[in-house]
Amino acid sequence: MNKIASGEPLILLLVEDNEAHAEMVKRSFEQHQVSNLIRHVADGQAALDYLRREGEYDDDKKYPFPHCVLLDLRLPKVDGLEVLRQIKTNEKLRKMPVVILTTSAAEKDVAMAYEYHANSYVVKPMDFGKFESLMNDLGYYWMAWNQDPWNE
Amino acid sequence: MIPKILQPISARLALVIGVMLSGFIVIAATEIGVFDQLNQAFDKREQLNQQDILLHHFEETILASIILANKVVLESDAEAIPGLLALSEDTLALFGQYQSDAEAFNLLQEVYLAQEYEPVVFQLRNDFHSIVATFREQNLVKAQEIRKVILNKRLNILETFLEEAAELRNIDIANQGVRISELKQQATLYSLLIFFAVAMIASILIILVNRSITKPLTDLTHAVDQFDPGNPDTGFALEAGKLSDDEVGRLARSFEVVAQQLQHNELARQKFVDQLEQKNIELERFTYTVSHDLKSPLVTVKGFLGLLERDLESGDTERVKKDMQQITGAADKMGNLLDDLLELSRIGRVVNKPQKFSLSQLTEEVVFLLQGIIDNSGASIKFDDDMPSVIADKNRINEVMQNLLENAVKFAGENNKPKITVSAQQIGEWVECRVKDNGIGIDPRFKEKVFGLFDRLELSIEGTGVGLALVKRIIEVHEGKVWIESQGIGQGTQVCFTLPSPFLKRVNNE
Repeated sequence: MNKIASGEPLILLLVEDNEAHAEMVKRSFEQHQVSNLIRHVADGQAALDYLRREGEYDDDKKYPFPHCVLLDLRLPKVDGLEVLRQIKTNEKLRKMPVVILTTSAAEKDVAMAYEYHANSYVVKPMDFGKFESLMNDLGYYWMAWNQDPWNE
Repeated sequence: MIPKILQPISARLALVIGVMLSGFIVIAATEIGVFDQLNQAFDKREQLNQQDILLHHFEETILASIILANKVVLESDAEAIPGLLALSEDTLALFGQYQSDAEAFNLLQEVYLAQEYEPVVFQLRNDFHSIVATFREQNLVKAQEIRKVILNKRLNILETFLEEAAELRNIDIANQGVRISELKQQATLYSLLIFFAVAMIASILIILVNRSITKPLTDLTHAVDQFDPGNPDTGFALEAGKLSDDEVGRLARSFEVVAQQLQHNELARQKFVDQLEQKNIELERFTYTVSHDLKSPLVTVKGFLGLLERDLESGDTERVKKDMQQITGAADKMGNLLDDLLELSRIGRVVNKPQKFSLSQLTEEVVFLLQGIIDNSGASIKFDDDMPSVIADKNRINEVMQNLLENAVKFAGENNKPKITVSAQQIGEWVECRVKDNGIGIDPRFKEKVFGLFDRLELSIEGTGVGLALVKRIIEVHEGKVWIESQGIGQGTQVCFTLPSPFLKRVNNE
């Protein structure tokens, strides 16, 4: 069952240390046809705490469990690749779709991300038109088309 | 000229060969003696054989003369006397023949009783003479009587003598045969001994030469095989002290020199390669970081330009203002990043001559420089007047101190007046300096990460993430170490670094 049919909003966890970029993602999703809820954390440790429901993130209402993670690679405290590795080696979290959203198109990063079982890897486009279009596509893809891994 | 390689064995060799040679000479001399005796024995046998022939002849003569004499005496009668006389003449001629034989016989030393029975023969001849004389007187009866009385007796003695002589002769010849075969056996034995002696000398010679040449060569080959120029822990396995002064020793020494050179070059090359690899990794990380972190503000600028356009259309002035701020912020950030990068890249290139200066004096100068932000934050900075001196690039260490003090002020935490202590002490060849604050502290997990380029832990506090990377770079250019000690969040932070001391010569740098 997908979220359009159920009417539930898509909950996205945005892991992004650059406030400006986070703002851009949020504002792109504001324009979106599909209802969505974006939760933003600014470093890798916070992302892991959020997903593990630890510390301040144990409040399900305030910090709902996401359907999908948008993960930057260069992050303070815990690096993006390490966050990815920990998600994908965690029994409870490894089904979580993780989309790498970064400025780096370095081959090593792409290779490592897929090595750690990233579900998708996209590079932030320079052009804002393309940026918005990408956000739109990501929203549709993960909200409308993709089947929820926890859907029974 | 004996090759040197053979010199250590030449003494031993000479001794062994000497001993063997003297043995050989003794054996050879004995063998020659044996051959001499053998020759004598052969001569003796030859002599015996000749005697034998003579003796046979002698016997034949005697026997013939006796037979004739007997015939003369036995067949004698008056009518036959003239014929008998002729026979008697022949017999006497034979006796004459015997006379000359006996004389020849006497020349030989061993005549088997000839001397003994010669008188008997002479007696016999004389008797026969008297018989023949009696015949001539026609006194046949008297002649018969003489014959009966004398001749038989004489003949018996002669026969006995002949038998005994033959017997003794046979014994002598038999003995001589035994002696000859004994001597032949001895000769064979000594020949064998000589053969073995020669074989042994040859074997010992081969073994000694083999030892003195093959052994060192095998050792050398082994050492060359074992030698690994890439491993500084393994030397050339041959010990110089143990090497001989011969040709192989010199060869081994040459090998050792070449091996040492090879090892030296290999280690230098390895070090160089390691340095290059390190630089390459650094450069790769640098390029990656720069491309990523410089691209970020560009994405922001272009993104917010797009948003700005949309907000202008919709006339949302509040958002327009925010968009402009984002664009300005991104542009400023990019400017700062470029400045910091330039600064960072200069550390490796621009090196001022190291000088000796006191850390107290340096701290005082930096505190003076930062007086503005110190006063604004209400921070108190304490440091000793007698901190040790260091040898370093003073301008760079000034930057280090500036960065650390700025950090200590910046990361003080809310509602907290920074208390900063700078201390230093001499530890061996190094001076260890500590900048301690009572600020927000650092989670021990991130103690290494804070030194990474553009790595920032606290996004709420202004900065580009270059400061500590710069500090690390400067300290490492001075071959010092830099690390962070902190009990954790809220427990304050100590940044520690080491610099070379001017008072002790550093060994590891030479």
